[in-house]
Amino acid sequence: MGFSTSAAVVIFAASLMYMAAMFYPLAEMSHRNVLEAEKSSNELWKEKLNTKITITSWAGDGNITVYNNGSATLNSSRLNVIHNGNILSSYSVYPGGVWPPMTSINVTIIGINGDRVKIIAPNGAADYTVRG
Amino acid sequence: MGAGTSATQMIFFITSVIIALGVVGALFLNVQSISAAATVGSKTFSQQLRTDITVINDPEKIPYDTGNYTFYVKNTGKEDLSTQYITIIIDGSLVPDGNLNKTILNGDAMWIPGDVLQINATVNIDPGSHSMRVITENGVEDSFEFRE
Repeated sequence: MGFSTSAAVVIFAASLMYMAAMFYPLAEMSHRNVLEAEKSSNELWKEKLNTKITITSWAGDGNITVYNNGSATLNSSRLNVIHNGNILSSYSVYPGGVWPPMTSINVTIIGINGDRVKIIAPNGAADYTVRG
Repeated sequence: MGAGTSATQMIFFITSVIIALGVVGALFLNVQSISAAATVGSKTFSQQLRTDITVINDPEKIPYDTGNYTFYVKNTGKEDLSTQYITIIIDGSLVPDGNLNKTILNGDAMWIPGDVLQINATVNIDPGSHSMRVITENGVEDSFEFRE
């Protein structure tokens, strides 16, 4: 009876150790993945909360000046422009690339007249302007 | 302590080993299932945390052409998304997948961060205010109020 109990205990103990050894690395990897994703998510929200763009002028020649009024550095080459509800594929941005806070860029749209323009930053922050 | 006792002990021993192995086997299967579920669950949760979409339409002017409304949805997260399982709900009613035509504007096969997805939805909308929800395959959504 004593030897049977010992054998059962040994089997249980060895198996529990083996299962723990298998489970722990997977659990640790899953936990690390979630932590990294949480970090990405926090960065995403921090950038969103710190982003604000403002259209400061829209001249008659199709030049729109947009000011980075937030504290996040943006990429001006990844803007989207919506004119009268339709997304535009033909427009130019100067200067392109890095768009630091407290600086302006010029968006030039050819061949449009009046009405509503919406400029959208890479992270979804946007501003509208209406020209009669 | 004769042969009978030894046989009894042997039977006890074999039985206890068999029962122990059975219990351990069942435990092992459960631990494996839990490990697999935890891995899949954490992967899905990580994807959800990295996913973000934004409807970038002008709420005042939704492009309309012969029964088709056009919505623009930008991938503002950090995760590549599939356009296959995008769900659109307008005023609480699901728009059937057959009434949706989805195009990634720069021609990518995957909807990568920064890309704009154009969704043409064939729906009947009365004049007035409306709400729309776009839901990705992993359950992340954005809401949008617009006027027709």
